[in-house]
Amino acid sequence: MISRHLQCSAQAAIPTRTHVLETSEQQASTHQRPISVIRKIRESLISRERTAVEITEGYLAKLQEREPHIRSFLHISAEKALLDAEEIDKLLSEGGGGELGLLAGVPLGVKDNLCTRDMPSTGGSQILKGYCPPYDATAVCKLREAGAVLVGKTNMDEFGMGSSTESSAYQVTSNPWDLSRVPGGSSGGSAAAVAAGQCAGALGSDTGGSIRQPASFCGIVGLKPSYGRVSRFGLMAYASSLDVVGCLGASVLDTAILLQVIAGHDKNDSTSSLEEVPDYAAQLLPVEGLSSKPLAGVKFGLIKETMDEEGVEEDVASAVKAAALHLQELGASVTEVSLPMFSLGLPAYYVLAPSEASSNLARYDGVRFGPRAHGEEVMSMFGNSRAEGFGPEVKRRILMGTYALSAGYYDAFYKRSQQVRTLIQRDFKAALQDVDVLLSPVAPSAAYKIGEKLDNPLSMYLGDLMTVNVNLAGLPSLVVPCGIAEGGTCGLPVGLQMIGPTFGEEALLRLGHIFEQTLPMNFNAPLLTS
Amino acid sequence: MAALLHHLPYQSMLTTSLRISVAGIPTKRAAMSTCMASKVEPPNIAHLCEKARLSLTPQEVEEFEPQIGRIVDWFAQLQEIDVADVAPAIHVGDVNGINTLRSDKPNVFPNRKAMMGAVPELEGSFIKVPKILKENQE
Repeated sequence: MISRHLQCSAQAAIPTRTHVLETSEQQASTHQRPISVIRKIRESLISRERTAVEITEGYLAKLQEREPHIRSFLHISAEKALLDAEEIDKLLSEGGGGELGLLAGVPLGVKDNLCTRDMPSTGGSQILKGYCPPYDATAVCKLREAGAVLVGKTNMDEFGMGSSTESSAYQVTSNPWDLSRVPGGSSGGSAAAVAAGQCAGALGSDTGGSIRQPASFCGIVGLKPSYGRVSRFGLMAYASSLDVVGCLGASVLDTAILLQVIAGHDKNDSTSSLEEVPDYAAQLLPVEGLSSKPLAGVKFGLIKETMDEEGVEEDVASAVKAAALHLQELGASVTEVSLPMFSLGLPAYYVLAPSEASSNLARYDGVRFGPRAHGEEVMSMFGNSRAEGFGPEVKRRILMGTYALSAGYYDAFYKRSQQVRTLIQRDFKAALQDVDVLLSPVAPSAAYKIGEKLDNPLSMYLGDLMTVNVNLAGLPSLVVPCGIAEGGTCGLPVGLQMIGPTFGEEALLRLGHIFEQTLPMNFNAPLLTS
Repeated sequence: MAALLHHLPYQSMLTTSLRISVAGIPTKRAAMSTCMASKVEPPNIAHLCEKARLSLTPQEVEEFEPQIGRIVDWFAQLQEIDVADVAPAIHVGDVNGINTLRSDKPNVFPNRKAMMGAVPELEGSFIKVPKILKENQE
């Protein structure tokens, strides 16, 4: 096990090639990377080592203890969680071991833009303050059916619009690696909660990187599934052609199990796919049983446009290059590929997403739900409810979208961005004919300081460069921690993004799992060890 | 010995088509002139607010105008690419030609009480809102 990470060395703890070779013999005996927190919970339940109530109590205690420092939850559902855990214990005592759902007794967090029938769902916004949905999102339903214990709703940038969780209308979440830094966004609450051990996994949503970037900033695994893989029914829509529901976990196997549960066709979501759901976890075997070159024959392509010296910090680039070396050590080939339209994805995204948002957020008008502001007549009631309910970033994006869609500008902005989107889709398709998986950093830097980017919205948008194109193309993407950058008290985690072809989650998870389990590094947030 | 992190020059990530510095907040005049340079009319925030049913304060309008103007100017680089004969990406990925329509039979929402319970002002089974028309309005 690499101890220099735990020693909080001021030197950048980035694995070098020699470093990987030195420790390969030690891996089998000293490697302590968790293979699956979820499986561990299941094993202790089945063996009766612990009860579901004990496990949930344990997580709730950690949650409450760490919450004043991190503030990852908007709503904590302790009582109901314990009742749900009791149900699981009852099932176990009745000898229902064989019928236990995949997530039985597993405490999970849910991003607050997913509707939950028994918990408030605000989307991180004041315009839904106190709103309790009359139904569960399909993904939430599936978690419950699998026996999961939902401990609460996690903090997020308002309606998903943001990359730091600072745009939440309620509170700012801190990164467990350095409490003065952002956890990323918009699923920052979910990422921080998993990284801080407040829950065993969490659901998030990803429209332009909102699962992947917080996963990278918090040193955990994040999966953005293919568009259509998971039902969006009950997800508060931000940009309907870009939004996906996905998962965050402590390991690749954990995210695979979560995906297994939430994936599948839903008649309530006409954009959900009929594509069969394979057994994602089945292929994720312990690496001890694999050959010395388990990735022989696999071709990775590192996206040239994401490794530009001026566009990405040195620590991040080094970590990604070291990850590429590690993959080569495992037998894979890593070449450089070019996606010529890449840089245009960012402005295209910031035309398309706000445009769709301006339409999707029209429903928040104070008429049927949420707080209603005073107005002498209905138009001013709309205007006031929305002005009081929405935060500045949401207002900006609604206005940008209204502009881009208005008569006279539609062709220049919206239609043109859709055409650029086609070109980006073509670039990806071409690249994925030559290689199996594309690689890139997740963000230009590791987690930055809270407040650092608030003055200038555009500078925050620029941080999304490496993630938005994947949403434009509807592809799946897995983020796995791969290195440590300088900063904070013990360094800051850096994630590796792995992008696959549509519905290629199975291969991504298998490759990501092997990468993770053979990488001689642990990623434990300092808050956990203090 | 901690090595200093390079300050990331985000400005350098922008294409050369961005004509104003990101670091400084431009004046309204500057925002207008750069938007005009992109041959696009700068957004009229007040006009957009009315379309979007958002009652912004004058301070908010003043704050948002240059911010949005700068972003719109940044969009100019989209004009530089040739998109002749490129179909807009209406669908994400391949369309399987699945019929996504269900049969035209009403489904009863099982939790009507909770749904109506969220309404701010209910009168009987009607949702009450302020008057629709202003006085002297057509």
